[in-house]
Amino acid sequence: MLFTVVAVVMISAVMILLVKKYSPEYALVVSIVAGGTVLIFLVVALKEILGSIADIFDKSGLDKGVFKLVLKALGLCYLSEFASDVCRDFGQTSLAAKVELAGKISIIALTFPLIGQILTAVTELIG
Amino acid sequence: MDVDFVFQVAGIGIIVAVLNQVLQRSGREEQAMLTTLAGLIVVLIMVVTEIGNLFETVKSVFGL
Repeated sequence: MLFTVVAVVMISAVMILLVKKYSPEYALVVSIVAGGTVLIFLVVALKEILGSIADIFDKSGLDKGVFKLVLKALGLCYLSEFASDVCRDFGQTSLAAKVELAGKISIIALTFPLIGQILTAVTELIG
Repeated sequence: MDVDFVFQVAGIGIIVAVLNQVLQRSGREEQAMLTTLAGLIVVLIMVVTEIGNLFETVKSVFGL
């Protein structure tokens, strides 16, 4: 699996350098396409792994909702990291920081009810 | 969404850039700029559909 990713990344790096000589904006578009291709390939590969992790999670006795939240947070991280790296490629570091902030906020919003549960559990323990 | 898509976009980029040079040499600056713009728009449309494809895959895998 890793070999294909390395091959794709090498080829697209060479292509980007080649296109950059003629026109810089196409080079950036090619880098987005290459990043997207690798990401789709990795997500599909991740799918099987997630299946087995879900089974382990069931045995552990934790309720299903927690695992779903973990998956959602992972997906949010995945996308915001992709977007911020693309922005950094374009030289827009400020935009990259904004996208990362948006990713963090959406994760916090996602996991907020969980924090409530933890607090109630802790207060029961203490009380 | 394979490696050949990367090649397609790079190929279009090179062709449009060469076309741009040819047009500029022959004295038609505006048409050169317009062809570059048109090529870029076509490529961007293709890229947007592929990125949409990526988002759909991520959504389905992570259950977002």
